[in-house]
Amino acid sequence: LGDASRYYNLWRIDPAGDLKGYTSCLIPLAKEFFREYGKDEAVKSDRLPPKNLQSDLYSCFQAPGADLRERFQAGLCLRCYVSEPILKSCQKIDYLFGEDQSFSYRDLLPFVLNDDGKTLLVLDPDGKTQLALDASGTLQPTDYRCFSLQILQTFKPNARSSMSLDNWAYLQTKQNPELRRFLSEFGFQQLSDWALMNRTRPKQLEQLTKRDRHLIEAFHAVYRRDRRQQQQGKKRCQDPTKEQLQEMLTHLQVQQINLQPQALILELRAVALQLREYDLWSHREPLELEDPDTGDRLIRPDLPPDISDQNNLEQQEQQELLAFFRDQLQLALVDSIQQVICDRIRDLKKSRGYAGFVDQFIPGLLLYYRQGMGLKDIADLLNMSGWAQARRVLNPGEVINLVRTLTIRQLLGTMLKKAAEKGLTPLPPEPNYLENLAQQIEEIADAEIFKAAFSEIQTGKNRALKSVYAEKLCHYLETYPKVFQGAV
Amino acid sequence: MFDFSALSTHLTPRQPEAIWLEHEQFEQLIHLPTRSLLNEAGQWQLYLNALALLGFEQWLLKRSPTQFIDRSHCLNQAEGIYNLKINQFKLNLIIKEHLLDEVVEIPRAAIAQPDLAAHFYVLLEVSEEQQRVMIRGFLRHDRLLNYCHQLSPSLQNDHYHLPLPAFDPEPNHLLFYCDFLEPSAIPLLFPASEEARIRLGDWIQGVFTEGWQGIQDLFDPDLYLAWSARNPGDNILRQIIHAQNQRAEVIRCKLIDLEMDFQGQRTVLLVSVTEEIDQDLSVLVQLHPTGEERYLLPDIRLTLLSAAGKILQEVYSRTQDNYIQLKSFRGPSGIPFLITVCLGDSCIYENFQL
Repeated sequence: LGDASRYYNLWRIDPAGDLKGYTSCLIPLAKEFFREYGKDEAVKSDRLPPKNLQSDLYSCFQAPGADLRERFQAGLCLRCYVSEPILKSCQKIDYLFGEDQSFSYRDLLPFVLNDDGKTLLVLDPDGKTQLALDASGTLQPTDYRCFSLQILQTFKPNARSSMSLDNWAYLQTKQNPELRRFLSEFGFQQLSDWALMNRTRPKQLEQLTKRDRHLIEAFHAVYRRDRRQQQQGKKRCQDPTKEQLQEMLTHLQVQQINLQPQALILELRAVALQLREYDLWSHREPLELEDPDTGDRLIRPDLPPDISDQNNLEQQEQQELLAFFRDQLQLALVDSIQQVICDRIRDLKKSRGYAGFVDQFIPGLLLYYRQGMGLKDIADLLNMSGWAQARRVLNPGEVINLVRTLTIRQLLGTMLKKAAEKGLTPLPPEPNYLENLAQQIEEIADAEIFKAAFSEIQTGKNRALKSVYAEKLCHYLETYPKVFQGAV
Repeated sequence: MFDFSALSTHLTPRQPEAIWLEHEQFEQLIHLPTRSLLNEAGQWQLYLNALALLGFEQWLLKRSPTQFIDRSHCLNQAEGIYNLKINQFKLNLIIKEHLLDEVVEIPRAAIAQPDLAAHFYVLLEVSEEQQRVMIRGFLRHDRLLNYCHQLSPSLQNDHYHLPLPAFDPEPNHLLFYCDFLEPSAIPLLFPASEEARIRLGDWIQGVFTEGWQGIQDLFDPDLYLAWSARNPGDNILRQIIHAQNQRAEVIRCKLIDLEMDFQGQRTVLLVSVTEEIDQDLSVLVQLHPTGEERYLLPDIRLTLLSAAGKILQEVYSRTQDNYIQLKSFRGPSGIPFLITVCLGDSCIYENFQL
């Protein structure tokens, strides 16, 4: 595949499809264009496509005098290309907001990944209007606002110090007004106004008015101090008390701001509303890095793998190694499940808050996996206070994470020994060798075990938990009491 | 090790692992020594730092109950937590409340100052209200230095601003390094001077970098004679001086003060540059003891690294070496490289460009 395929495979939204919500789709017209012009040849090697390929495509797309079909096709190639950073940008936002937020990247896709690759489009020479062919074969302005085309509209490929198309698309996606509006509403939904105020730093302050800055500074001086000193029962941040408001007012008087407590709390809430603007927290400047070896500017600098030249093992040896690896993977998985469940039970017994639930742990996990029950229902059945408590006691996601860590570590130890026997590395290995090997093991282990394990617990209702991981886990859980009855 | 081109790669990143803090942890909130009296914002940061440390320790304990976490020399500063140790690996924790800006600020001192530098810089995100800590990634010292060389112009308020993708998002790798490596595998390099990259091409033009002296200046004539008498005949230094008269060759020396980390020995790093006919520059690097010292300490490593941190050449001193040298190397102008002088896991480096 390589990078060339990015110019004729389009990432498209696929709400009805599998869990991911997007799919890759071959665009024949783009591929044809690529082949006809021998552009394939230039990028067949593993190297990144030459830089002028992109600007060639771009000039062809923008040339008013060029053949219309070619312009359409060059445009399609570029639309395919930018669909990847658009998708990645949405996933990155999801990742940055972290677990527990009230949206997923799938909610963001409709705003920006709205190019179906079917409409043939060019840009008007004014550079602003999107044009499509109408039934009579003439170019007409279109209502269809294709976001990938908007990215191309604003991109300046030849400007000095310009950023790469990848980075441009990535940043433009994060700046998309509809996406930003969505994030302002849902991005910080889990946080109270006061928690948002607490996390305000100079970078945010400088984007606010002077008065708002003083309000936040006064808030910090009082509310954060009290929050810090309050030792027990820390929970959601409560509204500031009368006393706290009064103290803030004293701070504000120094700044010549005179208010009543009731007015102060309203103003604070108004500031908090501004803080829900995603843009205030995001960055506007790209922070690119230059690859010291190639001079390419990258979002994710892929560091040169030092063992790549050791990859040319004989085919047969390769097969043997993989077979050995797969056996070891199964062994490590079983060992790690056992370890994690035992540790978890030991920790629960020691825990002040959850020791009473230790006997519910295994039945709870079995209900979750065998019956496909949700945490809320399990909580009701096992007399826990609710979803949050069931999550803290059972925590199926964390169990997978722990099993994954231990599995990969065990495999890493085994494979390092194997590699040393074959003379591929000294022990201890070079840091880069270790990292590389770990990444390879993770990739296989995730593909064969853990990816399925994570995604099956992320689905909503009607879950069927049938992954290899779920099977092995349940098998262990069902035999657990027998194992330990003998011991007690 | 494997060839798995047949396996498809997937775009979806794994969600970062969340660590949920329990009430009992808040109660035992740790008070780490701090260096200065701070304003409210600083105090808030110290409080977040302490939470982050609790979360990180909890994460580590669940995965590696056998690994020894040493916080006895731990220092809590507004910029981060310094001098945490896992086994013999030094860690610095950088703590933020959000990473939506995808920027990580690291103070220069945390990298360049021997008492603060660490093998790993771990990035943690604390959500105070939700009682949650997330490990956002970590960065090895050698990689961090590499970015700093690229970023040094963008040093703001004595902080490097690093993009989030520079960090390895897989926290397990941190465990693996601590499990399978020795700390010396990740040498802690410190700049021998504050200057930017030294351009050897300038030396040919007669423009010398401050701190680099001619041989005569560093070795006074008497000492030099005494010193060269030890190596009759094939004295490399003398050969170079001899050759200097015939070709466009320049030699400069620098006193490397190894007192802090090298059991008190001072050494002289000697760099000779020659302009070849095709305008390539060729370079010879040697390390000598100074003054009265006859031998180098054993096990000093003299290393040539690419700008990306890859080791290209390395030599060790034995028990009675008068000097050590790297094989002469050459290249067109503009190529950056590093020379390091290390003993144990402490290193001093000089940053050059052909």
